[in-house]
Amino acid sequence: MKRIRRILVANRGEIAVRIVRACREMGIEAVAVHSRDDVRSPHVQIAHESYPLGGAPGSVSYLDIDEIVSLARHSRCDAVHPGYGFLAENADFAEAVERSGIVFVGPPVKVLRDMGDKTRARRMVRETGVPVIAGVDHAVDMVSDFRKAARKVGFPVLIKAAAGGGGKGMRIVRSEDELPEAITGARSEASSAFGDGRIYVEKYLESPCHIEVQVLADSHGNVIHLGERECSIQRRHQKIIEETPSVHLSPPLRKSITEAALAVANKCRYVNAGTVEFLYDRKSEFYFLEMNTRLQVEHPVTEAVTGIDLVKEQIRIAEGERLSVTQEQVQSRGHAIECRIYAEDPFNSFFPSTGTITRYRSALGPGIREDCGVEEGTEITIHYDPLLAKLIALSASREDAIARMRRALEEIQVGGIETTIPFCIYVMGHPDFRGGKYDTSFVESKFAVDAKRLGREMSVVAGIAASCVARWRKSRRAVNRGRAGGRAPKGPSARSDWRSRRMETGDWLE
Amino acid sequence: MAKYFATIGTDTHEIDWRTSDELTVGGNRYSISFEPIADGVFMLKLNARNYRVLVEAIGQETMIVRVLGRSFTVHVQDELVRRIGGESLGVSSTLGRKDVRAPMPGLVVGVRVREGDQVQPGSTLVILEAMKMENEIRAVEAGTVTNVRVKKGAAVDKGDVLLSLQLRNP
Repeated sequence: MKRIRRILVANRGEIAVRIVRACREMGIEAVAVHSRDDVRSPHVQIAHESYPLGGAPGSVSYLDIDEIVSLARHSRCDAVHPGYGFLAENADFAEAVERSGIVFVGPPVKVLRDMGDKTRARRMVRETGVPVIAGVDHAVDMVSDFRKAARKVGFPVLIKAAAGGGGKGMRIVRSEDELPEAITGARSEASSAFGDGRIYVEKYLESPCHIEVQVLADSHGNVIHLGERECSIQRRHQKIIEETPSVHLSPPLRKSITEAALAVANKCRYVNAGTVEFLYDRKSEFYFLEMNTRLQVEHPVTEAVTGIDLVKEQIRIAEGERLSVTQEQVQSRGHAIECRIYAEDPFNSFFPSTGTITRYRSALGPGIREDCGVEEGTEITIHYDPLLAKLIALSASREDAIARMRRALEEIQVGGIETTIPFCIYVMGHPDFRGGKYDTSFVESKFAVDAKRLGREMSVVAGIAASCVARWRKSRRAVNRGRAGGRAPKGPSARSDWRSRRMETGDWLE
Repeated sequence: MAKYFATIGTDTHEIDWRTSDELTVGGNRYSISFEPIADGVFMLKLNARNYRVLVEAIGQETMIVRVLGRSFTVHVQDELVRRIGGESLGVSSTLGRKDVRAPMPGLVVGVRVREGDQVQPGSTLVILEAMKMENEIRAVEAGTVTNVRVKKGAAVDKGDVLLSLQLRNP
């Protein structure tokens, strides 16, 4: 058992804030690192100490293994928490950390290597008897081999990156002639995203559901699951809305899928928090997709229904402690939904939106949790992942949770950039989502179609609002001209006159 | 009392203010009240329904209005200005030509159209690689492709013109 006293948070944004919060509550000192442009970020503001990362602005700084390890040593940290993304699943990073005598808050290096190589993971899981999606269990190089593999698996197929997930380095291929371009595209995207261009082939399931299981394991051999999460509202394999429990699982299916997740965790001797992802098709079959050997973005929905703080568990496990609960003690109560607020314009193909956040007012009230990594004045650029914040609603039933989420989405105010907020409002109001009748095709098949119509309805309100503003500005200018035209008052009254004029016109309108 | 014309995209709403708290738009009558709350934040009440409106002004006659998270770029003119042929700001169109610009810096990895191609709203024009993903730049309006300024492999900055479209309904 090694008590951890200082943790270096090797991340940024909302997850860095999340980790710092857990540290503070545990009496652990949190050390933040930041790129040049993140110097004023919320995660830096709330940490105990912070250090700048050299190098160019942007993600690159957060990927510098040597610098981060050196900062961890220099700042006398006894642990590093990698968050998600960046170096969280990088076995070389974990190894460099451990070699410096610092604890890596995550699974052992060997597990990262095994599960991080998607083809090796498939081979290992196959040995457990858990169903794996049809495909090849090794990287494929030549176009001719791709053709053979695709024919064997049967079109449509998915070309995927062996070194990573998250939708990067992926291409759907429906026929042989699409193969060459898809291979080139996937390879280059995989290379730039993971530094490893190896790709393989899997069967592509049409519009499956994406269901994942949260697992927690300590270094004493205890492995438990904390239930599943349904993540089918996604776009280009990027999740936008998640919930627990899943509307698609009957009790027997839930039992099978959680047992399968435990089998996978046991097979790779997992330690710490992890998630086993499955695809679930219309024939009620589920297949192992991959294992994410880190904390996930959507972990709050599991925390909401179980009452277990996953980040604190991660830290305790890293200290060598046993899990704070047994499987029997894990209780799931109520229903939780999470909506991710991305800086993307849902009415322009979810194009990234950049700019300064001119206004940010959180949604609060009963059953609402907000994990946010930005604030008013934060500059949103294309250099980082566009996730701004997550909104989580917990209530007794799914129906109530949806109503609560909708309420919060209409309450939250984010000005200056486009966000996925209106898209999430649309989903909460959609009969198919409310009725639990949805899968991963929802965004493309439903929202894309409705987006235009939605615009028409609100555009009248927007037009009226704009004409109100125009009239209001006109009347203000007339008032000011009237004032300026009269006697110029001197002394204190002149000062108060300037102040009141400024408040009325507002500098922002000039 | 006063007429205003609010243009959003290809729609123009004629807003007829009967009194300072009543107006009609598109044949519908609305009772209305409008209160400033804070810098750039207003409360709009339309037929007793409340809307919190964020206004992010960009020009003399054009402003970005945000309602329920969704933003609208509105060009507002009062009747007088419109009658004397007020200028259209915020849209770079001369004689019905629209420049398609890079929304962010990136690398052009594909140009899907050629000079003279007819495109529809939603047609993919250029593929831009940025943020480690490939982003499709699509046409917002129907038009004919002209002035293709980039080719595969070109690095572009935010705001750079990629190509122009001769709009079909200028």
